[in-house]
Amino acid sequence: MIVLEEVSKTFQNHTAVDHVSLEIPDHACLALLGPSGSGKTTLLRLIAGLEMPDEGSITMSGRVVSSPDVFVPPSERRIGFVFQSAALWPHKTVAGNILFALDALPESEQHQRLVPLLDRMGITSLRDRYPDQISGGEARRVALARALAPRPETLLFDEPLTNLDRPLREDLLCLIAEAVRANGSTMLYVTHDEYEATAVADTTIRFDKGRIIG
Amino acid sequence: MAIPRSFFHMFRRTLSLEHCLYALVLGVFFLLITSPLIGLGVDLLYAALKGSLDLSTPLLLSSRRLELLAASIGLATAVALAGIVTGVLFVSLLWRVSREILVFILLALLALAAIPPYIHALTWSSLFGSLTDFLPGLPTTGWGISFWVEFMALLPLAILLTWIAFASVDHHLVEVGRVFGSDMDAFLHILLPLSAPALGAAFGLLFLICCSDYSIPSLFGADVYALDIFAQFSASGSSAVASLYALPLVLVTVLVVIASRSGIRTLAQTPDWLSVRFGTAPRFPRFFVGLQVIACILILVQILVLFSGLVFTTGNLTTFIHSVSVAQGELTYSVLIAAGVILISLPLALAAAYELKQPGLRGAVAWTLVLLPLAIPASLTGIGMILFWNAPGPSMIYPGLLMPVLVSVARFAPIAAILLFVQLRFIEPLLFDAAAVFSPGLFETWVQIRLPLHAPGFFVAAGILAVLTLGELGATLVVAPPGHGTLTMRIYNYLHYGAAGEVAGLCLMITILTLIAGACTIAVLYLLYRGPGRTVETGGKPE
Amino acid sequence: MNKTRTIQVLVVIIVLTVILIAAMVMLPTDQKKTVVVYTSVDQVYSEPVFRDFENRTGITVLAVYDVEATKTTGLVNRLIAERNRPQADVFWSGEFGQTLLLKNESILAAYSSPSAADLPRQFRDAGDYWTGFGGRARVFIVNTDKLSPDQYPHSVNDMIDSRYPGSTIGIAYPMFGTTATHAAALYSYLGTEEARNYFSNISQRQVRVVDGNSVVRDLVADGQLSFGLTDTDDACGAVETGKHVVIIVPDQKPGEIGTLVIPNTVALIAGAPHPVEAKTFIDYVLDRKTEDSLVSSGWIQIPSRDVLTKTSCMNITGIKTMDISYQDVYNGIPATQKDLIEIFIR
Repeated sequence: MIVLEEVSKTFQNHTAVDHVSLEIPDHACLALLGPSGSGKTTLLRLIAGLEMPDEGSITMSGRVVSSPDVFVPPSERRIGFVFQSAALWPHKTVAGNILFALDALPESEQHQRLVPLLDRMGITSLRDRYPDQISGGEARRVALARALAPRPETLLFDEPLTNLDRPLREDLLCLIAEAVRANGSTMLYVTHDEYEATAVADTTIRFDKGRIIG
Repeated sequence: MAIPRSFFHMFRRTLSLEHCLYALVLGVFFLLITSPLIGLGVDLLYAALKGSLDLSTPLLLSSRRLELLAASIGLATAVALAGIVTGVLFVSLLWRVSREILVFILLALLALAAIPPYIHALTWSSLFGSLTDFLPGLPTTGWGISFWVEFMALLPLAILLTWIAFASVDHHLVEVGRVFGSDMDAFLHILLPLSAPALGAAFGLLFLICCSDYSIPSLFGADVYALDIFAQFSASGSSAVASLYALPLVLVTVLVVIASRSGIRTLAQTPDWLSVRFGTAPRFPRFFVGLQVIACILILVQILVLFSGLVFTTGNLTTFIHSVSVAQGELTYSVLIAAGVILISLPLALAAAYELKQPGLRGAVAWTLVLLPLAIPASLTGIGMILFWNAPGPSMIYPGLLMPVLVSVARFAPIAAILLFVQLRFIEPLLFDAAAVFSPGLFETWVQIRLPLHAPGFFVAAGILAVLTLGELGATLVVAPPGHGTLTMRIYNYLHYGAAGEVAGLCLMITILTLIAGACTIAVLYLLYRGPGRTVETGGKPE
Repeated sequence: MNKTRTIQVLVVIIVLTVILIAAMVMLPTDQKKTVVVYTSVDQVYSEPVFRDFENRTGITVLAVYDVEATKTTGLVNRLIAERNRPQADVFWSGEFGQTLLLKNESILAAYSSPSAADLPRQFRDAGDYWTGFGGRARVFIVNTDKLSPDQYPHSVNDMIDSRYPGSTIGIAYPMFGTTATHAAALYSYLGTEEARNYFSNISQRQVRVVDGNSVVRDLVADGQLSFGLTDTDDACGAVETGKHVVIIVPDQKPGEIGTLVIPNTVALIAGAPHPVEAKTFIDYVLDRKTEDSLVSSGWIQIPSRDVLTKTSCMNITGIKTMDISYQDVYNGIPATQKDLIEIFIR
């Protein structure tokens, strides 16, 4: 379970997240829906450990991971994160991007996980290509594979389908939904698109001006 | 009063391994670059306390010194401006060349930039001397000639810096402009404004180099403020007095560099400095093409005069081989110094680059400490190094083989820090966030993600560090250990002796060395990070 | 790039860096005796002297050379900056002004070398802080294609003579090096007022003021100038390489002031790390045979003693020298330089 208690974050006099309290049960698929600038990405980054809360605390699996007194680094929170622009490292191949997330495992197990994952995402033929040699949709698939590779307890998505055309979005939404179900992870999906939110999540929370509004 | 728990937690977080390493590396960087200033400052304080310092003369600018300062600023401004304008015209031609040709041109420019400015001056002086036989009225001295030769000497560096400025702009933004207007409009209203901050920074660096150089103007009878500083240094024998005389020039150069710095901070994002650019070639109006042709002619003239001067003066292969064999010790030592400067400066400069990103007072202090060493004349830097390192504490370093490395680090590591700061702003921050999420450990993250992402910046900084170090004389001469000299020192010794052939041969050697080093670095980077099996790039498929 | 290769490359780079730095930090652990000599004598001339000394004595010479382009600020100011922990043993200069400056700054130690016994008295400091020997003279180098023999200059006053356009005459910056010493000698001889007028005249006539004596030589040899004031070693270099030049010793007629002869000077550094070796080196440099070799190599044109080798590039018989005291010249240098800075750097 992920528990947020009165979490706040301010950037230079602008309150991005304003005393938010939230409980996300294990295996839940939750969409966080709100307009641009509402603070939903900041909330996601707080959960991931990419930002520190100014007030409040975040607990994951019964352990406090973020508070003004405590900080557990992102790599120790057992999360997967799919960023808005895929954020693939340009100097690593597709396989290299995914394998970096498995670096803590023995080499044999890394490849055991890699091959079926590439297959599931439909990107086996791209394994030796570099990010600037693949399309935007393919990059999103690679980003998803990278997030799934370490079998995280929590999957975080920050508007992963931005700038993609409709057929591609449909495809990827199905892939995401399937992958999350298969992995059994808790999912938090941030988007400004109502359709995406309902397509991929069981529950939708509306967010605006740094607060949960519904 | 109870100390809040948060204080201890903040303190414990600050003491993490990463933070401690960062603080250590940063501390070493700032110590090394400010050690000359500390040495000079302590000496100045000591002289002032002893009462042996007359503050009035150096600090009160006479009309003569004001005129000198104004003339120096004028010359430096004109040279820097001419360099940038020519660079803009030439680099606008490189807009659509292939990666291979681009790399070749950049390597050639790097090699040319490594040749000491004084050599350019002598080559042009000989040419002008010969031309007066046919054109008796041709002036061979004065501000005009000084401007021309200084401009020619700094032109390769100006073009390199201009290329960096242009490469900093996301070409997609320019392409959008080409859709809605002419190519000339896109160039003038999109590319130039977006690259203007970086061009400003390039202007600042060229201005700095020109301001502190007196060797070229004095050869052509133009007196500059830097010469006055050294005349005072020679007359007084006091580094404290010389430091005071240098203050007005230091203030001016610091102001210019600060102005350039505010431009650096607003640079646009870009994916890759060596990215292949596709699309149709730009179509410029005739007048602009004419200007581009003039720029190319200027560069060709610069190369021709320099190389023909060097090659003809060398005379034959025997002289070249002889000059190189006699200077083997200096050659080896110079290469080792350049390698040492690069290896020490780059990791330190990377830490400093992160510090330069910090907002508020912290960033302002970092920028001040980084910019100050750039404004100090070379000889004073050398004297400051002796005053600092010859003290009882750090005395095992002086006068060892490491001193010329440290003096070049003190002078040029700030430039590397600024270059890496610029490059840092081009790296998508999400790539670091992704590394933080998926990181198996601090070491792996640095080795596999952070360092490779910084690689292009390292390459550019290494090239510029090598060029500046190979040509450095004023500070190195002061700290070179007994029994050891650099290639540049031998070149200047030969110059005085009149061994023109040997001088030319050694200058050709420097050029070859730079070309080899640059080519090797590119090859190594390519093999390490792209591999031989890479398929042909497509530049990204459309959705 | 795969992880293993990255790590391997990084390890290699780190190991190389550590080796490089360690090699540079540690001074040579050679067990041989050494002497550290700071010298403003051109490397081309001084290096053979050092090698010969090494062969004869087995003492290694670690030399620090000066470079004309840095206006001699490097070497002397380095010695002053090192005063609290001297690194040099011996200072060997091609002139005397900087040596006297160092004596004034208490950088030198007294040493009376037995090799100096046959040197003229005026070449030895009263307190034995320095010893002079064999020198160079200030001379005109004249381009024989530009001027016919009846047009050759014969006095320093010809530099302000309207017969010669200012732009065809050259002089090195009179604030640095031997030209500064010459200027100080003229101030001492002529008096401040007359000397100031003389140099102001030179500046107003737009005589070409250049970076150093070697530049004067090159510009005259190239034909860009008709004549210029330089040192005999520079001038002889041009003669010996077959340039169309001739050397004129100025002010040799009766009643004229004569020319300045600038001796080499050698001195022991106070607190020298290797005093015994330093004295051995000083004895060697002051030896008649060394002076002879320096005449032979072309560094010295005006020997201080009878030596076997005769100067071949010019006739030095009966040269009339300026009658001045080195100490007086030195005492006048700071004020002279300040004057000349005001006159020439504007």
